[in-house]
Amino acid sequence: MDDLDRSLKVADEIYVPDLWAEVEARAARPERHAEGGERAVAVAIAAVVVILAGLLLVRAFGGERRRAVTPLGVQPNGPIAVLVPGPSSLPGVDNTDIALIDPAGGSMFVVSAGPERQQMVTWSPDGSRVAYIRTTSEAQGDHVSLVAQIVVAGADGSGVHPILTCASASDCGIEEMAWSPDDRYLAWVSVRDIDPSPDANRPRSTVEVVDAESGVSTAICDERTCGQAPADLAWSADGSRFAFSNACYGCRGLFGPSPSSIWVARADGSDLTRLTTGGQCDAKDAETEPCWYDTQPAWAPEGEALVFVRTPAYGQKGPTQIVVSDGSRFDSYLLTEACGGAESCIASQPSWAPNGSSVMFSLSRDGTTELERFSPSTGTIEPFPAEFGGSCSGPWSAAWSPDATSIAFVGGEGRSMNLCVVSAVGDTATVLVSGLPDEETWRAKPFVWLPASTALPTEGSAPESSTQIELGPIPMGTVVFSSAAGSVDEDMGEELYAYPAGASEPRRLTTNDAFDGYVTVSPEGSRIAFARSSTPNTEIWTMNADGSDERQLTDFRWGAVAPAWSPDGERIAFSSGGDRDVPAGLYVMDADGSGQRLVVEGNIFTPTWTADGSAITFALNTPDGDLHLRTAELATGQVSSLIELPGSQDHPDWSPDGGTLLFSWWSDTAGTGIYAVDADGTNLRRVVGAPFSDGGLSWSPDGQWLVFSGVEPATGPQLYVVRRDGSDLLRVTDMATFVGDSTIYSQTSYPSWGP
Amino acid sequence: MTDVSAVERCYREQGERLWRALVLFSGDPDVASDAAAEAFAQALRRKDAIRDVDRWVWRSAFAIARGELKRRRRSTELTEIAVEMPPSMVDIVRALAHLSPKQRAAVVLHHYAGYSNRETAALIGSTPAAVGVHLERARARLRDLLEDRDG
Repeated sequence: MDDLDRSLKVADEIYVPDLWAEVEARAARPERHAEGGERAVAVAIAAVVVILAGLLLVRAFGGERRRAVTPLGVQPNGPIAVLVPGPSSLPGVDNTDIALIDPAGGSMFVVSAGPERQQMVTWSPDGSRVAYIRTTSEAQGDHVSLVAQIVVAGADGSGVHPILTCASASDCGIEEMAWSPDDRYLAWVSVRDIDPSPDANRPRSTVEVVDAESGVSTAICDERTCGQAPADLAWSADGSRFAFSNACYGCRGLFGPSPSSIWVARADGSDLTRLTTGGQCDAKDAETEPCWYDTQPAWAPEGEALVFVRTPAYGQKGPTQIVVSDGSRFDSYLLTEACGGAESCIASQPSWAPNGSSVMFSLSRDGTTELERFSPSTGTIEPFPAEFGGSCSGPWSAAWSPDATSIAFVGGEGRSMNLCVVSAVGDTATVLVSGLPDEETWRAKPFVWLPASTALPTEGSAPESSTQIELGPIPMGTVVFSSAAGSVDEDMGEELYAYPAGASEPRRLTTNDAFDGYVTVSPEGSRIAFARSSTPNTEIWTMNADGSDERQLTDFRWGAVAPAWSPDGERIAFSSGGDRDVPAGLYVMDADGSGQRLVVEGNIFTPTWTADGSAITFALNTPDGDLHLRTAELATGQVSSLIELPGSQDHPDWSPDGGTLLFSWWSDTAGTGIYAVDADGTNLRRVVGAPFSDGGLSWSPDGQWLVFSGVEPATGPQLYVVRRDGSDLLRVTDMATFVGDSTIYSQTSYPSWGP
Repeated sequence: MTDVSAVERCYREQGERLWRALVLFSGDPDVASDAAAEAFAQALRRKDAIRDVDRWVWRSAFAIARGELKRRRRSTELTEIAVEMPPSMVDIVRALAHLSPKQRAAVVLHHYAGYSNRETAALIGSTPAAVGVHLERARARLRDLLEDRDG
């Protein structure tokens, strides 16, 4: 529509603000959740760094190099605790479980096998206690609601007690937590309170210390007393103080350079001190005055030493530094040689060795991340001599074993993140646990290496493997589907395929430049209905099961899609955008295209007939932008709702016996999964979560299996089958598709299972 | 792998187009600025895990903007239009506000930003065929609304 293109081009006339400084500032503060508001799940800093050539370990200011810390006696190693994807789930809640891993043997024991979702799992230093956000859901009648709590428990999952209850994990507003060394207090960053002042448009961050038994909290400071966005909470070894970093966004306005400082307070909130100022960002000529982000403080295992990362603020020139301070003196060590002339060079996540002899940190040079080792006693910085390989590449969140002989870290490629381990003297890193939950891997401390006093359970349940799903045959009948295989980089369109049980590969049914999708097989298997998208419209067509005898059945000005055969094969329901004189809605026609009539008006998706052919269930696009399931009686036009759920529901399909409705469900606390509910609206359960990718689903003709469109990182979008109870999950196609971590194409989709 | 300079390059090349597309989508320059800045900032944080930074930023920015609109409960009707917009811009933003969020995103990404159905599907988490449906219905609705205006 040329007029529409022209209408939209008026946007080219509006002035666009330069946001890059704001981007840099945000990248240096804690990450927020996608729902809006400032929410932190990660601790990272990023800035463009221009390297000063020829400098090597120059102390920028301050006195002598600091003394070596006193070596501590090392402890033997216990298990590594980590969060792993869980096997079961409550409605709308993706299950995770805390697991203990034997670092020697690699065996894993799930210690919290409940169906809830755990987030921000934070272990106490001695491994005896754990705090986390726990999300569950409750079904009441035909409604499901979510409940989130901040809970404290024993490391074995026992003695769970809540200290804060909220409507959802994001409503709890806790950005990060850190246990005091005596396991008694939690320090956390809270953004629960929205600043009521009219000139503030962001949630207020508050640093609080919370009694882990009573939940009583003491506010240490808020944005009015110590600026915005505190993060990187770190307790001193003796528990008397804690440090944090704090980005001051108000210093030069929203779009100006903004420093980040290191703050220190006593555990009771007294003696709050701004240890560093972040330089001269308030100066008029910020280009020439130093101005930086000081972040990620880490206390030495004993004594007063605090190490942190110093990175030039946006627009500032200078090297990244590692700074060591005893509270009064600051020794800065430039990473000039370590950065090696890289255009960008970013240090992060310093971690002290248990004996205080060295500090390991991640160093990202022009996008390639490796580990570096810094020795405070000598000031030397050297690459950590290890081979990381693909599965452990980009080492992140490095942490020492209690006996200082090994380093554990998160690494991997794309979305596949793994827990890896390597000897403290170098060597080749190996994967201990593959497939960590994505959101956890971006936290500063997504796992903890516990001391030997934490015994491994004598019995435990192994978590589900996250390895690639096995390729297998189609169990019965013929699956027809749409795929763009082989045409990824060209807009060639999607074609239809038929894949009978027993065949070695799918057979292509169509070859054209159009997008052929929404394919569905007639009940007796002789005809196929589908939507063909070509200029100017998408319309419904049918053809024989072998691809012959194509016929166009609809001709709506604004198109028709999603055909669905009635159980007797006599009629086809579909969704249309309508025409000049007819509205958008759910329509029914005879199988030859005659007798088209409107059933229900609305923005309607993916209709499916009930088993007796008396009604049609569909997804209705409601004004909130979500899809919700509705059922329309053909005789009366009456519309009803079987079940009310948060999020969006789509792709309904009734079982051949009419007893079970399958559908897809997406919500903020869960990825998309396939759910089932009985015909009376009860017994809601999840049939399968990953790898379902919202590209459609279908029952097998005998009602024992379902086929669905899914995606795995290694294989890209494919079709999968699973039994109706969720068992025997198999991948059944191997279509050549584009694979990439940012790819969410459902290029192999709309499966329909015929006889 | 992506580095900071790749994210900044993406910002310099695509930042303006993305911001304007977000204004069309949200009707609100503040939402556009917030979503664009947050998407680029998250790209900086995740740089090691992003291969296609352009696509990642566009997809994230629209997801953030949609979440913000939802949070404000004004996803279906935009009652306040920023005064600095030209009148023709106000008209098209008001018309777009009558579409569902996915229809609106599909129209902006396809007709303004120039993405194909397939690329649009990848950006809004849909399928090319479904994008075709969104576009058909959105065009129909917009034609009525804009014809009413012109008439």
